[in-house]
Amino acid sequence: MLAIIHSAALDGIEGKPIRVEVHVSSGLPAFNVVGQPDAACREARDRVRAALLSSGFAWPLQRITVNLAPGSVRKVGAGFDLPIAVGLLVATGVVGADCLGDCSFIGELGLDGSLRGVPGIISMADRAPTSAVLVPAAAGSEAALAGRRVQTASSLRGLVAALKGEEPWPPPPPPLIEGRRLPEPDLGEVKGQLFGRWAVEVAAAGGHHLLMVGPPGAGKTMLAQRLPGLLPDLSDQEAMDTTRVWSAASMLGEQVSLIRRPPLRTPHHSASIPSLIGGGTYRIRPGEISLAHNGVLFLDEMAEFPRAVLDGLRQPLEDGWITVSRARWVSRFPARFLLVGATNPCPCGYGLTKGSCRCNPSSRIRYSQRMSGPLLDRFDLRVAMPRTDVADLMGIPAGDNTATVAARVAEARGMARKRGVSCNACIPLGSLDELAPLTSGAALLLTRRLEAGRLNPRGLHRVRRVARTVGDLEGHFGPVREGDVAAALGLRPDEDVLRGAA
Amino acid sequence: MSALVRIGVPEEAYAAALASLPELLPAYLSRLLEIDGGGVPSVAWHRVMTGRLEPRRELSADRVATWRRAVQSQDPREHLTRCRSLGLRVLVRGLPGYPARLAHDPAPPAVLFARGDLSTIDQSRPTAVLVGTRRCSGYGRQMAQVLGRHLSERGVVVVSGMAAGIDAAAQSGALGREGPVVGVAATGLDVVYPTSSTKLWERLGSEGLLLSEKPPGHGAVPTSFIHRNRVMAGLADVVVVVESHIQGGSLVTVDEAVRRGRTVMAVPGPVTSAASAGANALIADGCPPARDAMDVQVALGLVRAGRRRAGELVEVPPPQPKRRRVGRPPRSRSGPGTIPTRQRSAENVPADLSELERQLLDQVDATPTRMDVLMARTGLAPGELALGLDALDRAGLVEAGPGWWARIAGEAGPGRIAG
Repeated sequence: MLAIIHSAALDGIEGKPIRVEVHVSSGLPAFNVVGQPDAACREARDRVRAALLSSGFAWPLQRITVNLAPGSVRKVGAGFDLPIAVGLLVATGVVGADCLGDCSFIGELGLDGSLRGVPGIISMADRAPTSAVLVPAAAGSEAALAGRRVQTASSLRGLVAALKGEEPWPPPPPPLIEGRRLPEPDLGEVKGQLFGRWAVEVAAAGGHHLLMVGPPGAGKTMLAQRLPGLLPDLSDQEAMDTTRVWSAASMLGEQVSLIRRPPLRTPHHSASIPSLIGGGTYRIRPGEISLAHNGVLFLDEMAEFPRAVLDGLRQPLEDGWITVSRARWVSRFPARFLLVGATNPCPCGYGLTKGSCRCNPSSRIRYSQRMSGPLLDRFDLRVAMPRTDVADLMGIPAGDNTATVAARVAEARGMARKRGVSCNACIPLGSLDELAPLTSGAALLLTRRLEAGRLNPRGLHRVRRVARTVGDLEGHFGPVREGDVAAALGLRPDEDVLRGAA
Repeated sequence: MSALVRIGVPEEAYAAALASLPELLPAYLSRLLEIDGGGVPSVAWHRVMTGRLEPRRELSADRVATWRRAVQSQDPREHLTRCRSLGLRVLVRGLPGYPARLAHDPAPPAVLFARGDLSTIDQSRPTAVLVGTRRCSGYGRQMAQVLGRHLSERGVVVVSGMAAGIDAAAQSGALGREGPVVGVAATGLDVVYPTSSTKLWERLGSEGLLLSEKPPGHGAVPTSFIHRNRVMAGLADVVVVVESHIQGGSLVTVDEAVRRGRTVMAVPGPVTSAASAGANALIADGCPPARDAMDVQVALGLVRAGRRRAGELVEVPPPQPKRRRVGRPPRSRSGPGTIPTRQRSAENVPADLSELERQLLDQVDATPTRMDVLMARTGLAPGELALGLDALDRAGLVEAGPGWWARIAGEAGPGRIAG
């Protein structure tokens, strides 16, 4: 009496097809689950037994062996409760094997026989080995995003009735592709800081990482929070990728829909390496950098983050993904995000203005060493933002609002796509001369900087990409002009200038 | 370990050993030598060793015992050997070689360690002490350097405190010129503090004079800076505060100088600059302003007051670009000690600036002008603005700071015309 049920497991954020084999035979009553189950999987024995009994089914007093195949994949979580229960019902003849059809089962069981959702339903439904998936009703629209035929049930008893044809299936849930739109803060609310606003615009348009250095109250956080609002909607593929990460991290919340707006993640500076990069003891969970995939990762008070945590960002910043390795498993998470950092210039925060810093020189140096040179180098835009005078706050008219700036950004991004890259920050080194050619004046300006030793080769490429974006924003799509390069250089001042006057 | 004074051990050895006692303030050392030793270090040493010290407030039983233990386990000759191997001379008050400037000081250092040419602090040489904050602005650094250089060029001994910021700028400006340069350190002379000044220490030790009342190995502790300031005030004919916050070590030097009846001068700074608040307050309290080396020379009595030619201006060559001035163009005087801020006269601006650059230059203040203010004032596109600023930067007319630009004071413009 063997029953084979199809299901899927979550490995990182990827689904893996799993066969749940349930064997019921004579012998001393026992219930064993084998095939690398974790603690939650083994607990399935108790949940499944209680759920079957509460739903009015008999519990076979026989030897039950459940194998989760293939044995090489680690199985985590409670998602195998449902396939095990269905397998038992098939093996004991309550439900005929032919009733199942070409369907995979994913879900957790309550002791009362109710069905509950589990993390990563989208990815699992996506990789299920069958044409249809059966998931708990609460996870229906999430599973529907994967594009499979989805059937739902809210309890084990209802499921069995539907499988036997005694009751009709509930209507299939619609996939919520449009996504919810939460109100985003408007850029028009930021008074003054024309330069900072412009830097944020350039960052959004070109996908350039942005570091803002300024005293408390300069408006760094306000600007960073308004950056995602300037970015265009995610494409179908991007939205799917980001939603899968959020699903695997059980972060989608109650009303599941596709994530259409670029997410903003703002981890606190006490964040550990696993929480930022991804990892975990019992289950590998995507970190903040992956939750910010296709969105913005904002590190406020960046210099307060432990240096090891910050340096952990360097590889994902280059590659767009992160491989988390543990002794027993390896997971790969997507992590293509726009990094926005905000920091004070020194411990007291007032080091940008001459003579108003209250720190002693050695503590300034220690503070500035918190962020390694290689990490600083990865910021295309490094903007010093002195505090706006009170008079300016009252007098300056409000700048462009989010809608206006977002339109410019969308146009610039559209131009980048025509060049064949998703954004200007992604222009490969080999294509710079072709996609961002320089006018002779621009080349001369860059040559002078290089000769003066104020620009290194890596900085050169970054400046050229930023210059391309500056031109795009002004609707200039021809060769990069001298002014574009000068503006880009102004957005990436020398490190010692940035680190302050004191 | 004899309780007897050894024959043939120089008095300097005992002085150096006494200066190395733990928990020792300069005043304690003075009293050890004066009261207990009657001016003879070996006698004081002997009294410490036997614990027979005249009772004083600072002499708790614990402290006497501590000193006694320290002395009993030491050989004074080792202290002297160490000093000599470091190239240090030990100067003891009351013995030959002790600087005459400090001999009649109200709180003289009882023992001084010196490296370099001691004749530099001769009583006959005019001596200016330049002090200021470590957290100085570009303006302060520039003024310190220029004052140091010009004073030194006119043969004035320039003394400063070996700290970062104003001190270092004044000394590096003065080194390699006519007058000797003296550094008074707050640490032992083998302990370079701050480490960023290593080169300066080496140059001062070989080309000038390094002084400290702390024994070799003495690290940087807060009180030692206060003591150092007192020694500097004692050496001074004039104390010039180049740049000081409203509170700071420079003002300790000022107090000590006032106590000794020395002239105190201050370099005026922008009233909006926190780094100049202390110096400006001194001027408000009646200290004469030091706008340039000439003012200091007048205070030193080297130049007769009122001999400055009409129309002659405060001399502050720009720190960069490093171009030689060819001729001195006529300049108008815009007020005591200030640098002309917004001179719009045609001859002050290089001829080869474009109209846009000229207008842009008008919008940059001498004080830091934020980028967003420049954007609002000019209404230029970021690219044009950046290009204009880059041109002005290359012409040496403006300087960049984090998020701001400032017009460079001085005569970069005329220099450009002349060259």
